[in-house]
Amino acid sequence: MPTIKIPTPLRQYTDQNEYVKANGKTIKDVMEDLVKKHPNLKKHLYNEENTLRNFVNIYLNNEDVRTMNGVKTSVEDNDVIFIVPAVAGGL
Amino acid sequence: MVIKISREEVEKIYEHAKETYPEECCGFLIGEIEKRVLKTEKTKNISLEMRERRYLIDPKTIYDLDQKLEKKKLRIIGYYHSHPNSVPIPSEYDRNHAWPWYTYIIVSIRNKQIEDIKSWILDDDREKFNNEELEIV
Repeated sequence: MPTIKIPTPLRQYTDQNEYVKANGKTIKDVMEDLVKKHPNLKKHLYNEENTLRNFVNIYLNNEDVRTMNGVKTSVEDNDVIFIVPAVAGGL
Repeated sequence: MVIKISREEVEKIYEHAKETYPEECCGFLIGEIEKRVLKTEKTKNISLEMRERRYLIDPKTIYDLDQKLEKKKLRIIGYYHSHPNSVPIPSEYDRNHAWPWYTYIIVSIRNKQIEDIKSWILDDDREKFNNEELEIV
């Protein structure tokens, strides 16, 4: 089962666990299983259309999955997935 | 909630805001634990448009810094940015792009003069920001 590294601001929704495991063969499946296991994560990761917010970046083994196959990127059991918060703002 | 930061680090934020004026500046708040800024680190605003009204931090920079800090038992505890010619209150755009838990410090700057500094934290339901007391020590 792949491991997901939870960024500090979201650990309050995973019982302060930095690493959690979720099932799936693609990034999409793993992320969906993650929010199923930790439902309070959902509003911070997904938008109303039920797709990942565009300021949620997913890195797989040190690489942004957007440079691979996006959420359809395949994952292996020993992979580590990083959720990296994009930070933006302004007036 | 009270967030503590040294005068020296606040001055660094002010200098950065002046340096990039009239564009927005942005940077990291780094600490060991919540609500105590040990140091700040400026970063590049990579927004490609309206940089006097927008900032964007490269996720790769965040990822790399996070990995680096982890080895020193430090972490990113928040972010700062400037509001050129405006008030230090989070905008709707800020709220839409914000994360819970992080402290967001906003500096207002007008005619290259610092006007005010305030600290904010996103409400858990994402509906609003709450003001945090900024204690400059």
